[in-house]
Amino acid sequence: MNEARTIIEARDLVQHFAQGRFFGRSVVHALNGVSFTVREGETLGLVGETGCGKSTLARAVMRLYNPTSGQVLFDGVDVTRLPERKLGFLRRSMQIVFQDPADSMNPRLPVGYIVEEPLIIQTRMSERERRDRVAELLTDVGLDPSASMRYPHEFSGGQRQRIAIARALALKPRVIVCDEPVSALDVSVQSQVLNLLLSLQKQHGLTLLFISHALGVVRHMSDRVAVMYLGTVAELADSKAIYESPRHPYTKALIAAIPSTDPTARKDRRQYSGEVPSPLVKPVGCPFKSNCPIKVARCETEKPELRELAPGHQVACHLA
Amino acid sequence: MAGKALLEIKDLSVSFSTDSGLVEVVDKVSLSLEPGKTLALVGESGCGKTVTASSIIRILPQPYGRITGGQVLFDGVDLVQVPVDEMYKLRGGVISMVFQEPMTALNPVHKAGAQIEEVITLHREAMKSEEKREIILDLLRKVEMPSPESRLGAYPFQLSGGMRQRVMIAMALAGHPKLLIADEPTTALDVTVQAQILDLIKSLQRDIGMAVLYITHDMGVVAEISDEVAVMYAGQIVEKGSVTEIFKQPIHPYTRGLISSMPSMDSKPKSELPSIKGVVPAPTKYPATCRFAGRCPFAEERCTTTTPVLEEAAPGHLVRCLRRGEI
Repeated sequence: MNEARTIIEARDLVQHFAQGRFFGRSVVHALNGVSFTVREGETLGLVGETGCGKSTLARAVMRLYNPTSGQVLFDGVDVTRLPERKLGFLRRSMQIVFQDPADSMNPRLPVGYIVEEPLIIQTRMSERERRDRVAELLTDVGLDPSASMRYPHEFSGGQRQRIAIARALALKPRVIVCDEPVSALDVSVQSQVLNLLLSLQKQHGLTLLFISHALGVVRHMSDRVAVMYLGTVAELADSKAIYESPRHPYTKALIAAIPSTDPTARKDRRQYSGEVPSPLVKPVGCPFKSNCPIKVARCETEKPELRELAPGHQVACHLA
Repeated sequence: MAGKALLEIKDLSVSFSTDSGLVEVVDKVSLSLEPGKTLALVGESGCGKTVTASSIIRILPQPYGRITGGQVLFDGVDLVQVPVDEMYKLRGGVISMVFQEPMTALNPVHKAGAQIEEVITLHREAMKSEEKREIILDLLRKVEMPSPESRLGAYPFQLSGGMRQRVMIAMALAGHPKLLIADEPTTALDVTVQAQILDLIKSLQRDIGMAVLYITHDMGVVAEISDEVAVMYAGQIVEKGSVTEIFKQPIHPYTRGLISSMPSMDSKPKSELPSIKGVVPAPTKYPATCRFAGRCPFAEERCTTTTPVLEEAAPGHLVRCLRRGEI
């Protein structure tokens, strides 16, 4: 994997959102300096709790937001400050699949048009070419081409997610961001969609940014995993290393919290019982300090930087 | 199953009236639960698990839902026959329920403390408000609410998802329940919070000896919390047994599918996951024969001609499958 080229690079990415007006104006510190790279053809998993910045990170990288500071490089090109009219290539190269396919599709449009729309906007294909492409895409995701005449509500959750994937594939993107793609699906359908993503990735050489709070799913899908906490990356390593030898105390707590599938091996999984601090307060020192079982005085004041402990294994902890 | 059951559901059937007539969504479900034990009711959305649980305390959506047959014996009393005003006393008292989404189950315009107080006013002997306050604080401490004093005056929107679920559990405990019905209480929560809430339910159960009916679709949670497991598919129980039995020797192809399609910690990354093909049929389209046959990898001709019944495959292990013993 090492020789594969870097397709996405984030350098010290910061994303703040202003909240409220007049009285009580405040700032949400969604990302507080995130750096990482994604290699072409790999799957990078992003895990962490609700509100830790996983989705914000993916959207900032896609330039759906304007980052507050820091840089985003796509295929070596700095896209951080490019104006919208010059972002066409990025829009064609990066696509996203959302959590709830019912919310991300216009219920009044037929499926065929939903899948075709990116082609109308971004390409000069003729109507006939587009129609053929839509049929091909629907077949690729395991649906019958006749589906294009029907409306989203006529499909089950799993089928709708297939339609969303077909739409994401329409422009032959290089990167697909999957933001909790199976969280809204039933267990028996979840694995069908995961299998589809895996086979499409193999077939088209796709790079996936896979966001989920389901740790088992991320382990199954990813080559490398970034664990996020309160707008920072706490640990980033090969999937195997994250799950088998986590170094950051937060990663350890997460892994320990996964319910075991063996009822005879119940364990005391409680690692910490605190609440995640509010992102409205600018964090000082280590973001995990209020919940960390092993913190020392230094953690209160000094923010730990992500450093490489073993080849490819980065941890942001003073004590790791 | 030697002990005396606290809750015994016998052949419960529930139907909903729809535009196309009466549709049966729960078909002759039988369950029993002893004091101090946890029964997990597992299945996918639409399989009837929430409807079964709602029938116990009779909160089926009105006027559509109707119990069409069977008994729900709680401490020997058939709840299906109990008059409505009697039910008010039971709900939130000896039987309480925790729902999946605490944001919709809590009243957004009342403070957390006041919502817990309401339960105490309704279900406990009359007492002074200072005493109530002490009990509420005590409950919040019991559910490990961070800084409980300051949460009494908080509105639900000011609390995190985990804290809201703690308020729900505190409310559920306020009436000293003998039976707690927990309907996917951790599904909307993060894993670390889920682990905290599961541990909390287990330790409270040990302390006060209540029985728990735990509804979930997550086999990992089932393995973690339950003593007994009942798997539902399309309105019927398809397999029932002890948790060790179900995980060690699942027999019904649906149960097997549920267990194996979950990415486990020792599966090979990026390999193809076993999956159950197709989707759950709509309640109007349940076949008269095996309801899983259309998705079953082991189905053969007789599965579409003969109706399977729930039969004992091993002591205490019931399965609804014609091919049990062969597959």
